[in-house]
Amino acid sequence: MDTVVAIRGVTKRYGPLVAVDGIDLGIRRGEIFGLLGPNGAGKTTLISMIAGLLRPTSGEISVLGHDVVREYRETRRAIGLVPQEINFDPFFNVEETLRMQAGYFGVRLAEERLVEILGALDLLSKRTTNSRALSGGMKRRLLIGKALVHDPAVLFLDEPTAGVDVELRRSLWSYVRRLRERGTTIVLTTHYLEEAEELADRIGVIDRGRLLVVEDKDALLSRHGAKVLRLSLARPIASLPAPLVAVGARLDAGGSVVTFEASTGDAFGPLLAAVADAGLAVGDVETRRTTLEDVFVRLVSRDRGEATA
Amino acid sequence: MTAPVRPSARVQLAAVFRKEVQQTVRDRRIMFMLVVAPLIQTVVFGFAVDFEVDRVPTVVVDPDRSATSREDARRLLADGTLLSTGEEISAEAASAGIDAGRASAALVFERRAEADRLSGRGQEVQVLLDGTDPNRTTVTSGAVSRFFSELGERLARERLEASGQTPPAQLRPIPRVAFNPGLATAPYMVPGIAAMLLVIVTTFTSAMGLAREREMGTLEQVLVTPIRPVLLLVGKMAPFVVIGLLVVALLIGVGTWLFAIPIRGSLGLLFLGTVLYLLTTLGAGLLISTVSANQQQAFLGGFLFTIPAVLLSGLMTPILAMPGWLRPLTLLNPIRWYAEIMRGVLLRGAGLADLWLQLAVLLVIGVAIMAAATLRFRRRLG
Repeated sequence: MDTVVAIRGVTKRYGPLVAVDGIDLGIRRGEIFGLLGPNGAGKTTLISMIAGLLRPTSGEISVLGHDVVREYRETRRAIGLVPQEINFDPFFNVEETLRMQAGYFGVRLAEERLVEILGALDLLSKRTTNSRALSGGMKRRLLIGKALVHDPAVLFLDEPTAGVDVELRRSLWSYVRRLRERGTTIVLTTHYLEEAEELADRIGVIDRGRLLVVEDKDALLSRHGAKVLRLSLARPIASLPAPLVAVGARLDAGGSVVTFEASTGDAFGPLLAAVADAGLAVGDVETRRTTLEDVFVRLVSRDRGEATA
Repeated sequence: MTAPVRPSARVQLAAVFRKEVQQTVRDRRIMFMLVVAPLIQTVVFGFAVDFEVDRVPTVVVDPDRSATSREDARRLLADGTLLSTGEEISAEAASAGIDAGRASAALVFERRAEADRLSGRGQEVQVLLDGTDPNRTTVTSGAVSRFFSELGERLARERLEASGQTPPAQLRPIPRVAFNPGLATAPYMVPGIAAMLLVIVTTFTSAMGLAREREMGTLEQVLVTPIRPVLLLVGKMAPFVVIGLLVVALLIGVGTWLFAIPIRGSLGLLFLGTVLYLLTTLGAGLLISTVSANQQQAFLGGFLFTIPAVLLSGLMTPILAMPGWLRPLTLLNPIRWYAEIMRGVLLRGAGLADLWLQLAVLLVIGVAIMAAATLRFRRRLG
């Protein structure tokens, strides 16, 4: 699979502060890449450097083989950026906003392309509405429209659903999937882990400017993830019988819950047999799969633990 | 997905230009500031700023009350430089009147004025002056001195002729005032006022416009596009050059109509000078915006540039009257050169051969400022 965006040893410093610290990363053609990280981790700084809004202190970034600093005109043509902040120039309606942005890219927006974008973003009826008079969700969609006017090869979505209601979030997700199906590579930064879990093919976790992990989402979940089985006991017990301790179970909630974590692929059989042998009366059973959030929290807290150790 | 189309610089420039024009025209407050305010100010300043000294309030102290002293006072007051506001009984009372601000000058005749003159002993007239306004004092003093020296000369000639002697040949300078024979202030000041208003309006507009876009975050959405910085800045400035030319045309129209300002030279040359001048003022605005984080800073930066530029332009005070160490600074001041072009073309009918230096200096300053602004604008991206 060929690399659309290549980031090699990129660092960005602001005086003593290191916002991005020696990142190496390749974004593959046609994928949805989820860049996860807590607030202030360096996600937006990294994206801004790719989009040419900031220059790296050291390292190199290329898009479709072109260097983002030396050949910025080529790389910016290939990039669409949906910024985190919603801002529009006053005095312009939706159509004018899109036509103007296309003009900046040096292309004339054909009527059919305009209608296609407005239709896909459900903004056709708002074509002549002033962009500042749109609802929050519509403004967000118009920002996406602005990033798509020049039909970019890579679309960067910086926290695209921040402050967006659930229904709109779902509709944006489905539009992002459609874009990917049309061949657009998508880089998504988010701190909504549900969003990355829903959309991303690959995940990168960034914290304090460093990339902690880059992996296929499913591999990441299965490597770091686990199945969790919680047995609520009919009567609390004082201590866990030895056979249950031997299979790795633990006693929680003051002796009323037995918790067991198994790696993906492991079976619960030995545990259930040990529970039956111990004669414990089970009132309720609950199973849960580890989410990306669990993995993320674990990775970030491990990183911070190592840093403070 | 289609392959990216090579961006057309023409389409990009047109997009920036169209956007600036639309947002300027649709913003009524900006249009007012750009077009209506300079017009109103030119009219108001044109009437208000007047360096001609006349109707200086004057009191007369004439204890002699003779035909001679009355005739002297009447004739001195007749040319309009001095305006009688009444009589006082003594020099002390007249001095008190000046102290109280009721008069700016006092003519004090002696008790025996007529008798002294007729006897040939000589006559003295005391002139008390309020020196608060040096220009007015100099003009008033000059008018009184000229009157009495001419009178003295006439009396001496009459005396010589009466005694049968031939008076010496007269030496009389005959001034011929070119371009502004009536010595009216407006034809001189209005072009200067236009230059001043143009620098204020265009510098502030460009400085605050870009700072506003940066503050609102909309500039970022432009910076992710492949447009070259220089193209972006040129496209942003071009509408204001057009508006600036329109404003100059309007101001000249109003100046001709209301203040009888002549148009003796080529308007084409004046417009060329205006374009070069706007290059410097808009460039200064851009430069200010590149060192400003928000509109407030840009506004203060605008003041820091325009006020010293106006004061050191020679519009208000002659450059030759400035201290020697300050004068070289005026060479870098675009207002100085543009005011020379304006006055040259309008009042003197000066042509390219007379004004090439002023035009060349504006071009050099303009290109230097624009280049510095573009470089700083690009560096801000880092």
